[in-house]
Amino acid sequence: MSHDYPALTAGAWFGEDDALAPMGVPGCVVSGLAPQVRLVDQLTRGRRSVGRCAAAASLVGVRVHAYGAPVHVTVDLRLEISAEHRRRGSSLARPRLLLVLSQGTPRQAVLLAADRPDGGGDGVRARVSFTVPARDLPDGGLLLIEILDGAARLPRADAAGFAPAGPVGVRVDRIDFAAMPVAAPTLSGAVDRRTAEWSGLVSSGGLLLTAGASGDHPGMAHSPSLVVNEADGALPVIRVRCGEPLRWSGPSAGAAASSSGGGPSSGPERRGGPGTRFAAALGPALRRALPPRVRPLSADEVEFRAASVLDGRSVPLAVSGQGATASLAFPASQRGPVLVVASPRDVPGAPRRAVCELVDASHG
Amino acid sequence: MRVDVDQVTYQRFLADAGAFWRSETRPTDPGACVLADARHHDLRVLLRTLTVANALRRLTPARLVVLANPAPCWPLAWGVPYDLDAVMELAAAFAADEVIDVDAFAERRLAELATARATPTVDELAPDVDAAYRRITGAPSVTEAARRNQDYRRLHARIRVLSRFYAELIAERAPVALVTSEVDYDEWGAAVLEARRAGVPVIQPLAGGALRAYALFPEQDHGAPTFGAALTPLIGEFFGAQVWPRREHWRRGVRRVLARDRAGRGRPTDARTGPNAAVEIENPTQRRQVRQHVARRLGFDPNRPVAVVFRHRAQDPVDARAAAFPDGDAWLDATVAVARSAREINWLFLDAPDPAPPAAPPTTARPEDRFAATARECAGHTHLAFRPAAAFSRNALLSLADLGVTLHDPVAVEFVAYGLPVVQAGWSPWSDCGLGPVVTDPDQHRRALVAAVAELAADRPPMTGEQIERARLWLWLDRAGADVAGPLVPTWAAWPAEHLLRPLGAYLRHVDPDGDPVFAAVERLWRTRAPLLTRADVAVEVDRSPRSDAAPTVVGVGMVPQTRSSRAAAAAHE
Repeated sequence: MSHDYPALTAGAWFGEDDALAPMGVPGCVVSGLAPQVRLVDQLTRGRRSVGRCAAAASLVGVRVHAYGAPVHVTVDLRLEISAEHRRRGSSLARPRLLLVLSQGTPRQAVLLAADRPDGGGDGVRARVSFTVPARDLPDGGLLLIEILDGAARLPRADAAGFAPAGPVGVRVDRIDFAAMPVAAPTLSGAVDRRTAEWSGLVSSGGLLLTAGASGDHPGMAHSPSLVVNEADGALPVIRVRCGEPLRWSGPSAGAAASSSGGGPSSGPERRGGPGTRFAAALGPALRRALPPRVRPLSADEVEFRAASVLDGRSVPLAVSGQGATASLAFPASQRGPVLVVASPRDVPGAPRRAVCELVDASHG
Repeated sequence: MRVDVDQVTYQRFLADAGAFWRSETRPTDPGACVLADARHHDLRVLLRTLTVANALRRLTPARLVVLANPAPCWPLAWGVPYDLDAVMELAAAFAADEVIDVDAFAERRLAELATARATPTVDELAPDVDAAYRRITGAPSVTEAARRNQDYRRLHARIRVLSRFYAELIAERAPVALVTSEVDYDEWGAAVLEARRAGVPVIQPLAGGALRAYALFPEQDHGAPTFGAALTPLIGEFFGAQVWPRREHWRRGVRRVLARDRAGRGRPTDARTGPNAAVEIENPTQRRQVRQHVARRLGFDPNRPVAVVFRHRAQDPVDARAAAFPDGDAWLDATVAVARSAREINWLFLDAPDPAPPAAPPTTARPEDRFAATARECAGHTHLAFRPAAAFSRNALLSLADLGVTLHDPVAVEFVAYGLPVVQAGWSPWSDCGLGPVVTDPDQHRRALVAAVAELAADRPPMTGEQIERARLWLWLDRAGADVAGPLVPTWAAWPAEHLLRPLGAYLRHVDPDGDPVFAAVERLWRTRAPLLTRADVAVEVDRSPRSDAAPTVVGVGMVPQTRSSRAAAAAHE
């Protein structure tokens, strides 16, 4: 049923003169104040970034003129780690699972995860890239990009691992429009972790921003889950490596014990001297600066489950393990982004947590 | 009253104001007085009230008598303490001759009479007491059990004492006018009622904007039960007789108000301010695109029409005699009942913008919020969605909505101005201005909803172009024509207090107030007996003689219109 909205028949309440030309392709938007950013919904425009998401569903609309050709869109996202994230027990510190839609259609899902529970690093970046066909770009219309909370439709047990209202606070750094895919994976061969991450094919928590380091790096494995997106109309076969995150035990552990549980009765050997106090003060900073320690786990120590990010339904997985690396294949009929969660098998002496990282992705 | 400003600035402002108003209001006639109600927590409201009162004193020399100190439960409900000393200081700066501590008087009289134990009867003050009880306790409605509890009985006893006090005060002083920012709740409502009974004009300065005020003069007051009920037809009449026939003159102003509203400037509906206030959709294609995304969030089919229901604040006073429903929850229930069965369209229910719980502890356990309870009951209905008000930007809302349903939210005007029909079931100042049908009883409300649903489902535009034009003209009147902007009353947004008081103090100290727009507007109001304060005399005959540059269509927006005689006088002067 085509509905003729009353607002359209009743009055010209839309903008009167549309003097600004739409953006040509290729082009990019790096500021929310750019004239081509025509519409925002629950997104605070930025001066040096497109904007910051303000709710669990944030929308930005850009006027793009594609000359009747498909447009390849790349969206750069960033999660900044603030003091609020580092607060112990804060739900903000949990990974963000985001689902990116364009023109009403889900395009890709992405995961942004800090590399350790207390935040760590300065921020996490991720990139989403997809192609919008020409039929989805009507004359006079917008290219809409919506960032949704991907955890909203997951089963409760899976959703609990993610931050509530995931997009809140995530920054959209820039949006690129190109006639040809810039960084999209072709999967002609195996794609390594960094390329898969940077093209949005497999997101295992994003790329870490570390002060002083040049460029982005995927960092150590830091997320128990990863998101696999379609490429060339099918989900790739992925190989993953798992590990157990270990607590960083530096000089601060003893110092913390003496300062919290100590007191006069805890004996002179537990009293911290100036050196211990110094170490206690330095401990958190060191913890943040050094990479987290991970003990490798073999594939049979870990079990995997998968769920569709679109509807939360469970997805059957074909797992084949070879030593430390497990190979995961999805059903050929499966469409849309899939969340893969690794958890230690329930056996005595098993690790409490497992994290996983991509080795490579290919078309089998 | 909370004034977060350093004492140097504040005392300097008081000194400037004192010098200014003493010279402006002198001489005073000891036999006449203006009553000003200063029982409010916001400095900006007090400023408006006292300024209007003093502007009246410039016209008719009179003393200024200030009513101060509300019942202690009110500062608790506001969440802001009321500082009587500060208000007395402020009143002195506005050259007040007398400040009456109303609470002290009422308490003394109550102790003497011990009437608190008497069972109250429902009389003409009941709506005001009900409104006050709901506002203070946070109860959504006043039940029979509530009428018997101690809080309610005390309010009622107090209001009877106060009512008698107001009657005596008015009989004794014979005030020229009563200036009060509140007309609905117990203490204020009773004062308004007594003033109207005694034939005293009542002027109500409004919060928001620059200086806006409604006025009710005794010769136009034909005994409607409440201030609102008496004022609505007068505003409608004023709009129909003086604004609407001259709409061509204001066309450019209307376009500007609409453009400002689209950009999120001016005064968009309170909850949708900030980054979510702009209306950026440019054409039907964009609206359809945004609608697709927003409908998906709610699980709605974007091809089916959507009705958006705006819940009003639970504690807002509902004018029981002019509204179709006794309280907001009854209206919500009636609307949900229709929505449940009307499956051919989708329904989005939005909660009140800030259902802030009052600070005063209620005597009885507060019942569960009706909105949350209804949302839970309707969980199985996929064509119904319940969300907080802030969940949608105006872009999203105007893309999604095909029909608005409200009790008396100003969104009713916005929606009609943007070409979306509205079913409204409560009194509002614009109710008689022809923006659309206003329902007067629950059955009519139900029938109006059913009819609107049928028209939406059948794809018929349920409103006329004239309604849209009237709504836009009302928007202009509300934000421009009847919003008197001048340095004497800076705009509401000039806040915190330092940003308000420094420029105002400088104006009071350094600028001669002759021809000040506020004084001119109050003088015009007093002379023409219009129901609302206007920037310029909207009924004045504009000089339409041909000019070389442009058509004189902006007359009246911020400027006193140039009439043929004034222009001739100017020419003669040259």
